[in-house]
Amino acid sequence: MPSVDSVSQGNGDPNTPSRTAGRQVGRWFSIRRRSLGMWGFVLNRVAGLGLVFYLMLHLGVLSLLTRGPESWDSFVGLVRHPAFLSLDVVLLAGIIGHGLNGLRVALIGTGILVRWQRQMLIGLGALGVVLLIVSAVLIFTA
Amino acid sequence: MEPGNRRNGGLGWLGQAISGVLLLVLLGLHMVAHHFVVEGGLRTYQDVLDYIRDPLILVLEVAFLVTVSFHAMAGLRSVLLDLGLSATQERWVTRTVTALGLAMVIYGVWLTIALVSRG
Amino acid sequence: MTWTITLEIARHKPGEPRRTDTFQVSIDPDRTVLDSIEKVWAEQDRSLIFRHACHHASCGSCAMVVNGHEVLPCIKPIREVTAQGGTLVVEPLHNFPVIGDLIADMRPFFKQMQLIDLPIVGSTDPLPGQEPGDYSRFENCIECGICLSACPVVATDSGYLGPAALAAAQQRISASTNGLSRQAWEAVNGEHGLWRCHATFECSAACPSNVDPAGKIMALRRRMTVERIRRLLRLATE
Repeated sequence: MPSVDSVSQGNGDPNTPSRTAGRQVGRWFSIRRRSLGMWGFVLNRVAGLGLVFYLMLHLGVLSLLTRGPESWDSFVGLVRHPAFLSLDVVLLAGIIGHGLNGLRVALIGTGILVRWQRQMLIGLGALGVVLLIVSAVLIFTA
Repeated sequence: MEPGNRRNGGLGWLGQAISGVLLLVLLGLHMVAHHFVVEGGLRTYQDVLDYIRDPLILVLEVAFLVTVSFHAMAGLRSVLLDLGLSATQERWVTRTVTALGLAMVIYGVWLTIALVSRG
Repeated sequence: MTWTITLEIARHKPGEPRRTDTFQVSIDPDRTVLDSIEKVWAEQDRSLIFRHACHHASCGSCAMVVNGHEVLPCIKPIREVTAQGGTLVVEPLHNFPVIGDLIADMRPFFKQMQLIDLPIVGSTDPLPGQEPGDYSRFENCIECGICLSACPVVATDSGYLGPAALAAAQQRISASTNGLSRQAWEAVNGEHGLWRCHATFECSAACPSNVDPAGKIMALRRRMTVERIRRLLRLATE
């Protein structure tokens, strides 16, 4: 069986490429593409990374509970401020987006419902937007 | 790097998918418990102590902690593995995220125990 | 009818820095993008190098990126990608090393195909076997590399098997009774095999030949899961 390595060995071969492709991490976030699935991927990746960061933050903040009611309750008072509530809505958008698209990826990736991947994205996307709006309203009025 | 590094990738992916679906439920419960039960939507110090009195709640919250730590670390690892690292670097990625995940769970359990003993 | 269009072509000769050369071309808009590139070569710059062979989308040689999208320029009419006075930005395929100008080094791709039991076959080598499935390699996929250019995982993970090889693996398994070799199986099931796909479906959207690699990868996942269960049962009963 002919081996590809005999092609690539070269021996001073002038056709040896001048540089390898390198890592194009920017392509993870390039939406100038043609597939809805790409939107889902970008959303999941951005939201996922953001959520990991938030998770660490959240766990760190919880340590305030060990300092007693004064520390914790004043922190609670702080985050009632509309600026923080707005950040909560952003967080929720990330959670809903990542969660629903993740469900879609789980269904596709086991081979179930592959044919409906675009429909799922649109359907779950719409559901997500509704959930987000309802939650945002609840956050600001409660 | 040679294409097609060995070792089974299917288990990692499946674990991620299953933990993700579990989280849809556990996170949902967590959000409801913390924002839709108490007046004002945020638990005060006393509210938190009252909340963790119930052993079922403790079980659910710890389950949530374990699941979310796993899913987060597996996800982080997946993103890093997409970078086409060497086999040694990949082993270090796995070790680091595992250690970080364990640290998160241990910290969370310690915190819970500390609070339960105050209630 | 003639349009005047601008071609901005990526240029790169080994040892020289990359640059973009701009050319004006007068051409009938019903002719193809490849025709316009050939016109540049013939009438303006003989140092331009690019691959082309069959001129009817069955060899896959000419695959490149035009205005940010992967295409086979030999069948892409100019009027589909630009207008009178418009510009075409022409680059080689993404995610491949570049030998020069618009020519991508396809050897990484050939390595991937070799890993799943589909090496390059020389013209004096015997034809594949007698089973109908042994010819499945010639169905649809023209091995042009467009899917690899479109895939965001291939962009960062040089170890990823890639949509073309994975689709070919699925094709071989479903069409032939032989299945994959152990090496191929391990490559497909490994950490950088089909589980690294993130379901962006970019490959299927870009493929000029109706291969649907993403759909095949998901079908292969379903098959792999069943196969794992079977192997476990075989181990259990031995």
